[in-house]
Amino acid sequence: MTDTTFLNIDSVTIAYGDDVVVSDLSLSLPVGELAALLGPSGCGKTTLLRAIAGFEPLQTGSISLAGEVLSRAGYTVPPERRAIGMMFQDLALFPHLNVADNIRFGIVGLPRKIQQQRIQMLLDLVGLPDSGRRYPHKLSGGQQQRIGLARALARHPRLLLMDEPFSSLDSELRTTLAREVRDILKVQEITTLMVTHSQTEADQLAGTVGVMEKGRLADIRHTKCCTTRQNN
Amino acid sequence: MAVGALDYAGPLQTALRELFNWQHGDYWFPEIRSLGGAAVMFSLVLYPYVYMLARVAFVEQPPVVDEAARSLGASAWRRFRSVAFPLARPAIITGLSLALMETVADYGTVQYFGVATFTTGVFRVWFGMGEELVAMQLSAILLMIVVTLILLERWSRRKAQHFHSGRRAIKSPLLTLGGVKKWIACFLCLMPILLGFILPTLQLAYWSVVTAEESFNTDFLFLVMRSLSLAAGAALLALLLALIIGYAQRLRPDMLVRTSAQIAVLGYAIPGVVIAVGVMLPFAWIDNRLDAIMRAQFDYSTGLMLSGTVFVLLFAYAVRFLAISLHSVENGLGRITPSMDDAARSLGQSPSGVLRRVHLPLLRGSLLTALLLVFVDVLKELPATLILRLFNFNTLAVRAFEMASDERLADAGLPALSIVVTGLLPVILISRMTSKDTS
Repeated sequence: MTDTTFLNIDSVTIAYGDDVVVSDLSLSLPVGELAALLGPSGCGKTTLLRAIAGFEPLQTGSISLAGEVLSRAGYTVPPERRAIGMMFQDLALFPHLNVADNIRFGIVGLPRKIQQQRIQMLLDLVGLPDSGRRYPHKLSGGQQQRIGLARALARHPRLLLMDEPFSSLDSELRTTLAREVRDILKVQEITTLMVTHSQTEADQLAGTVGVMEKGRLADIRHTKCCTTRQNN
Repeated sequence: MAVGALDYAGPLQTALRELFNWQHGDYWFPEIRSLGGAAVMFSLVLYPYVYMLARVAFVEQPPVVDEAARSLGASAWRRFRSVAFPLARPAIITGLSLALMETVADYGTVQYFGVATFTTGVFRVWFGMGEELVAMQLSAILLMIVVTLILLERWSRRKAQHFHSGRRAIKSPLLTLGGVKKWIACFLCLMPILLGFILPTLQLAYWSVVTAEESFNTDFLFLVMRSLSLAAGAALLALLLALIIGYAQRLRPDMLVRTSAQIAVLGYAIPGVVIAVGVMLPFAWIDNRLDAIMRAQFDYSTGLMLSGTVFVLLFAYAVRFLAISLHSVENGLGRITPSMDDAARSLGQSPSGVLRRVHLPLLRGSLLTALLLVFVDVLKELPATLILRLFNFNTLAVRAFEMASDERLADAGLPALSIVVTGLLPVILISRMTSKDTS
């Protein structure tokens, strides 16, 4: 861990009973980094992402963000108190709420006027300025993806996690959307960790790519792309 | 009520006598109040259990299976006998076992038809002879029969897993019948609903109109209000328990919770009379112990706090019908992907916030369904109500049964019709909700 470390995953092990899914894994990211975990299905990358979000307890090791320990063995800060945004593989947009209310979901504590401004700003940011009243099932796959991102960004998360965010899209749309998302994250300056099984996607989006195999970090490499830090 | 339409004084035989100028003894008509009559009655009432499940099983069979059999030279009859029927057999057995369980649990029909069964036996020894122990023994045997039926049903479902193709169901093309086949099919499809629903309902409506002046009074309205509030209370209690169990299964799907849920749903298969006996005796024991302790310690009698109040009835209904509400709640929760819970948590909601802001709005339809189904079942329930009701505490079902038992069939019309009409409401509401969902 260095002075610039923002997310620090230290010797983390996650197991379901006797089944060890993530084993003694360490990884650190500086603030503003766009990073990806790459690996085949079942290698433990989604489990690690869920542990960072607070959905999975740790057997050993610790996860800390900006110096604050969020998880260690026997101690887990609940997901709702972490200020970590997450985009889910199936997006998990609430079907009973329209687009605006989906985005509003995480910021209901703010004054109404600020909520409205923030919703509109995010809708503009993801390129769907007039979609507030529409319901998720009326949107295309790519539009739903954008709303999922807008919702995750609404609370100004300290860290954004993305679980296979483009897996349900065709390859052309995937490339376009990946580029758009990268640009949005750069504007927002949010440290981001995504999980993918596509090398192209990882290379396209991330400055740091960790390769996972059987629950361990097998390799870590840095590409010229990408960071959200303005000075880079 | 079909008995009323078909017995000697009923409209059918009366019409035959008037038409052909027959007198008593001039013609033969099957005896309605007999074992055969009761069996026909149960068939008419319970056939939907088999029909609904068999229909789904046949409709969901992929057309390619039939086409493959056809390409192998099988005739229509052989395709039905060797392919379609074996594939649907597990569903048909499930329907049959449900119908069997309902028949075994019934009291009102068999009592009225004069057929001696375990349930009538329990009533006879409980009320007629005051033999609680014998009633419990009979209940235990009845329970064993039901357990056998449950095991049979589970076994058939296990086989169903092998039969299921796992592919998305594609609807088979409709076959248009012509000529005489069309009319035979129409007749066969119409008969069960005509004999099992339309004619008896018309008969009830007729009796209700005839007796309305006498029967429709404040006493009757009070009876309706009491039945409705009892059914509403039981439905709410069952829903609350179902929500707790269903949500526990979602949050902590461990062995203990799963086993509790499995035990909780057994109540639906257990006859009302067995539940009533099983609930009454321990509650009475608790009441007596509590009363004895309070008398000894504080010189104050608590009386029958549990077994002597409506609580025992609500508890028995909840035990009997929890499976229905739990099934609805589980179905509803199953449609909400776990990532939606995670999304709400990552957006700052506590577990109770997830329930309030995500689950409850999405579950609204399932919860309403659960409430309505239990409501209607409680309204119809007879055996447990007869055993557990307080003195002179009547419901619509009890009133209809008492009137029918006293051969005052016309007076039974209005309470029976009220149950039928109330029972139709959820069918209409649920089918409207379903069609809204589909659109």
